[in-house]
Formats: sequence, structure tokens, C-alpha cells
Amino acid sequence: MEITIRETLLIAAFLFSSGIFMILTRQNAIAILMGVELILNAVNINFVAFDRFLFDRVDGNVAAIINIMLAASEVAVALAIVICIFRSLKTAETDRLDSLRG
Amino acid sequence: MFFKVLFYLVSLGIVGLTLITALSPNIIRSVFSLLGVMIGVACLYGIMGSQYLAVIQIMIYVGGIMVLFIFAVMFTSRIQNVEITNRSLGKVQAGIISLAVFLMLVFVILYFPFSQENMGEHQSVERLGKVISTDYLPFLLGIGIILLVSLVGAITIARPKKGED
Repeated sequence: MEITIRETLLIAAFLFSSGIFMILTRQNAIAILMGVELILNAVNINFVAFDRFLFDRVDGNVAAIINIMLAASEVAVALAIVICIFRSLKTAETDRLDSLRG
Repeated sequence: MFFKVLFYLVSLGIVGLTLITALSPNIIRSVFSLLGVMIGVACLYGIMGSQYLAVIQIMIYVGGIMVLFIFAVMFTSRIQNVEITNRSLGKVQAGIISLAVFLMLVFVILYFPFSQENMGEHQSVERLGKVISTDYLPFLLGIGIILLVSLVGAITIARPKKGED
């Protein structure tokens, strides 16, 4: 009774499609960013699972680390932009952001 | 056997919390269940034997990114977001699209002939550190520069302008 690669990849696939659902349905910009985070986590799980189960290497772990760092910087910049938009337009809903010069 | 049971428990938690994250109309509840998902993913990394990634996930995602998310949510939005659906794309269509993606991925995963070898028992932190500091050193330096630039840029964007409140 060992963990197989298919179960791990199924969890990652579920996270990925939930992230897509969240990106498609939400109106709030922060909630859309949360969907992006779900997708990034699914990708990281895939990297680690391929490393663990298929190849005797650690390159996937390195890719996951780089991914996490890039996610951190992306979230910092994106949330700064959202806060800036909220300060000038008083809303963070993507449907209402329709003026070019706030 | 123990790891198998643990894996199933953690997976159940991840699936439930992801459903709450994706479907809850209350954005605070959504953020906190996303925090639970991150902790569950860290547990998955630990179960799969890469301890360093589990620690990194806890430190950066749970300690950094999610705190930033909670801060931004408290700062900007109405908490009770009554209409969760987009105006251009309804819940049903989005559900169909994401279900189609999920079924496609499940099909590929179930029918792809993986060679089930279960290698990588010795994925130690030591090995990862050696690989990072020799083969992937340029990537590490580039990531450092990107982090510095993006943090400075974030501060510059989010700082209030002069004369504004």
C-alpha cells in the first residue's frame, strides 16, 4: 500500500479546475488572484509528484521553489495594484473598472 | 500504510476546503479556507518526502502570501459579496468549462502509462541544496533580483501620492 502517482495528480487536477472555476466566476479582483494561487499550487504538486514517483532527481523541487518565489512577487505586485485601484476608483470589482484615467 | 491513510485524510481536507474556497459567497471565508488548502498542500509535500518544500510552503504561502491576502481583503472589499457570478459568464457555463477541463485531465491521468517505480526515497535536503547551489545558481540569483524589484515596485505603487489623503 503505497501512494501512487495517479492519486497525487488527481488532487492537483481538482485544484487546477477549481482555480479555473474561480477565475471565471468571481467579480472581485482579489478572489480572481486566489484562483491563480490555486492553479499555481496544482502545478507545484505536479512537479513534486513527478520528481518523487518517476525520476530520481530533484529538479522538480527546484522548479517548485522558483515557482513559489515568483508567486510571492506576483501577489505582492498584484495586491499593490488592487489597493491602488481601490484608492482611486473606490471599488475592486472587475466589471466596474471601465474608465481609463481614474 | 500510515502514509496512505494520512494522504487520504489530507486529500479529503484539501478537496473540501477547495470547494469552500471556490463556492462560498463570503470572501473572508474563502480566504481562510484557501489558507487551509495551502497548509494541506504543505502536508502533501511532507508526505511525498520533500521536507524543504513543505517548510518553504508554510513560510512563504501561509506566513506571507495569505497574510497579504487577508490584509488586502480587509482593506478593500465588501465582505458579503452577494453576486458571485460574473455578468458576462454565468455560474453554469463556468461550471461546464471547468468540469470539462477536470474530466480531460482525469482521462489523461488515468490512461497515461506511467512507469510506477516509486523512486526518490532519498530526496534529501542535502541533495536539493547541492543542486540549487551548483546547477541552478543563476536561477537563484535571478529570483533574488526579481523579488527585490517586485517588492520595491509594490511599495512604489501602493504608497499614497503626495496631496492625496
